[in-house]
Amino acid sequence: MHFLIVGIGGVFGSITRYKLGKAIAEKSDSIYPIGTFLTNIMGAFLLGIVSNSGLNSNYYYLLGDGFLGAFTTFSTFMYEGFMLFQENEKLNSIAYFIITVILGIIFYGLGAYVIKQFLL
Amino acid sequence: MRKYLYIGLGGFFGAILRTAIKSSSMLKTDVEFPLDTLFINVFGSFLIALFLTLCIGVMEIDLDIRLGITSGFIGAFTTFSTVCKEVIGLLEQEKTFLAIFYSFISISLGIIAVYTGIVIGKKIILFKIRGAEIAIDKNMDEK
Repeated sequence: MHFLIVGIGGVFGSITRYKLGKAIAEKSDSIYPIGTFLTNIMGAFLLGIVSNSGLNSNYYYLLGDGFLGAFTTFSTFMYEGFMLFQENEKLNSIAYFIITVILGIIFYGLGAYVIKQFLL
Repeated sequence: MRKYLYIGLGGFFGAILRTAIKSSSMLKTDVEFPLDTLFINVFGSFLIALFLTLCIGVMEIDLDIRLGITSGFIGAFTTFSTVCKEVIGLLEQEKTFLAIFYSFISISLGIIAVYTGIVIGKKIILFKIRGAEIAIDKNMDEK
């Protein structure tokens, strides 16, 4: 049963990522894949909140594993970063990989911190 | 409108497959290391690179279906937020080395997987082109 809940979260997570990522990318003229970057960081922050808010398991399947798991993506992050490398933006590509991971970890921690303060 | 149907459908199965792998005991390690997420992300990176290379080269796949497979299925199958959660989890257990190692290995293997996907994709394209050339040559000979 919980697979169905995860799947429903996955439907909305992937559609939201696509729409939001596209809207962000259209507004930017950066060489960086800024759409994927921002959705990944935002998703990490939100997962920090969702994971630490004491939700019961069905809500967590829907929002954490389903929606946010699908909202953020690793494969596109890797592919776009690699394309940057191939376009001879080698330093920018390496910076993109490192900055995304470090900020993702920081923002997950920030989300966890915020919700813990709020729940106190 | 049609593309959202495909992306949503891909996302449905991608998220379920990820959860199924994570809840199976296949990739459980004795040490607390998220080998399952690592496998999912690296394999997904390989798949997206292989598929996109083939799309550019030979396959004539409808753009909406292509989005359903890349942005939908593989996008939802792999995940970034869980990696961040797992790194923080390792840091909270004061397994700092393991946390840094996990971040580093995810990125490095991810890059290698994309590279491998592109190389294999290009090999398949070359193979198909050669096959087509041989077929044309044969036709010419017969005439």
